[in-house]
Amino acid sequence: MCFENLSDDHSPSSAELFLDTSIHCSKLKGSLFQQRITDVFDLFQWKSTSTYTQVEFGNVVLAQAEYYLRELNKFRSLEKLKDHIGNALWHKSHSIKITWSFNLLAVYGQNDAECTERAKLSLQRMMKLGVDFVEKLCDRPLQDGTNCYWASRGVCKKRDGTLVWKSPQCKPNRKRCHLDDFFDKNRGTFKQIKDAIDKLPESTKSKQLNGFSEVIGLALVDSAILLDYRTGCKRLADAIIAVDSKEYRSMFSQNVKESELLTSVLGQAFYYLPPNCDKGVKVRVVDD
Amino acid sequence: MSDDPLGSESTTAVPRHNGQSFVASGGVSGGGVSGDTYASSLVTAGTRSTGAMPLQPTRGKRTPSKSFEVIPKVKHTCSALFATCLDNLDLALDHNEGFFLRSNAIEQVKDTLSELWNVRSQREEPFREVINMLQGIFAQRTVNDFTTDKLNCLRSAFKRLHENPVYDDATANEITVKLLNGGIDVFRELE
Repeated sequence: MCFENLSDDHSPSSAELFLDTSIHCSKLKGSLFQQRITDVFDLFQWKSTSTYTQVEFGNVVLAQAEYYLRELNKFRSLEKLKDHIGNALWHKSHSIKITWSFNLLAVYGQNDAECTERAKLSLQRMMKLGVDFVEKLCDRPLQDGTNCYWASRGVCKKRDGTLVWKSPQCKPNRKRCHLDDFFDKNRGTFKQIKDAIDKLPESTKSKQLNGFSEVIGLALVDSAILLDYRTGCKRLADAIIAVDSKEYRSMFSQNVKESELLTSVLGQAFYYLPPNCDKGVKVRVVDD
Repeated sequence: MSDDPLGSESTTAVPRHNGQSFVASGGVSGGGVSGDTYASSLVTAGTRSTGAMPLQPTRGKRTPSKSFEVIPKVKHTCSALFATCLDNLDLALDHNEGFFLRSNAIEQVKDTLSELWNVRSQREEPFREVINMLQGIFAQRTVNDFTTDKLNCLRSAFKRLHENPVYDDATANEITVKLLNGGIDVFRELE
C-alpha cells in the first residue's frame, strides 16, 4: 500500500466521494485545510456521508461549542475565557477544548464586551445549525444504515433556552437504532475487518484498531452488545461509518491509521488529508 | 435512570412547534411505574410513560423565537439598509473588472452592516446572529477575495434578508447553509 501525492492530472475512479467525520470537522479548521478539501471535492460530482458522522461531529465540535458558550456565560468575558482555557485547563486531559478554542473562539470587536457578545452569537449560530452542518453540506440522502436516534435528535433546548448537545447514552435494554441489525446484515464485512486487523503486526496496530477487533469479536457472538454506547457502538464508530460507506468507491479522511486498513478491506480509493499542509493531499488508489 | 438522557430534570421543557410549552415529568419517567420498565423491548420514539418526546429537538422545527416586538421604524430602517447592501452588491457584480468601483461597493456594504449592527439591541436574536456572521465574512477580506460566485451567493443571502420581515432560527439556518454551500466559511472568518 503506498500513497502518492494528489496531482493536477489525477483522475478519480468514481464520481462519488464519501466523507468521514474528520473531514466535516476539518471544514472548520481554516484555510490550510479548506483549500485542500476543496481541491478534493472538485474532483467528484457527488459528496456524501453517513448519518452516524453527525453524532461524531456533535461529540467533537458541538460539545466544545456548548462548553465555550457555558463558560462565556459564566465569565461574561471572552478575554477571561481564553485566559482560562490557555492557562488553567490541564493540556493532557483537555486537549480538545484547547485545540478547538483556536477554531471556534475568535476575537473580533472594539472591546472585550463586544468581542464576548460576538463570540456568543457565533457559537449560538453554530449550535442552532447543529448537525445540519453535516447533512446540509452534503449531497443527500445520506447513508443511514444504523438509523441512529442521536443523529436525528441533534441539538436540544433546555427550559431556560440553553442549547445542549448530549453525547449518546444507549443501553441494550432500550433499543433506539438498527445498529445490531446493521451489524448482522454486514457480518461478513465486519469479520473481514477483524481478520485484517488481527493479521497486522502488533507494532502497527493502533489502540483503536485493537478496540475494533475486540468489539467485533464480541458482536459476532451477540450483536446486541453494540447497543451499549460506551462499550460497543462508540468503540466501533469509525468501522461502523466505514461499513456504511461500502457502496462508495472513494473515501476522504484525516485519520490515516484506521482508514488505511478500512478502505483496503472495502476496496476503496483513499484520499488522505494530512494535518500538515506541506504534505498536501495523499491518495492511495485501488489496484486493478 | 442513568440511561435516560431525556428524563433529566434540567432538560425537560422545550417549546413545541404549536407554540405551547411541554414539561416532561422526569420523576415519572424515572420511576417504577413507567412503561419503560414494563415494556423495555418496545421501540418508540419517546418514553411510554408520557407517549410523547420529553425533549423535542430543535432540529427541523420552526420554533418561535422569544416574543420580541420590533418597532415598525426599526423594521423600516433595516429594510432600507438591506436594500442599500443589495444595491452595492449589484454594483460590485456589475464592475467585476473595475477594481476601485468593486472595492468601494464592498466597503459600502461593510459600512451598512455596521449600521445594522448598531440597531441590534432592537432586533431579534437570530437577526443579531446573522448580522454578526455577515460582518465576520467581510471583516478581514479584500476585494480580491470576493469572486463573482461568492458575491452572487452573498447577494442571494441579502435578498432573503430584505424580503423576510421576520427573523427566526429557521431563516438564520437557511441563510447560514446558503452561504456555506456557496463556499463562504461563515464560522472561520472572525480572526
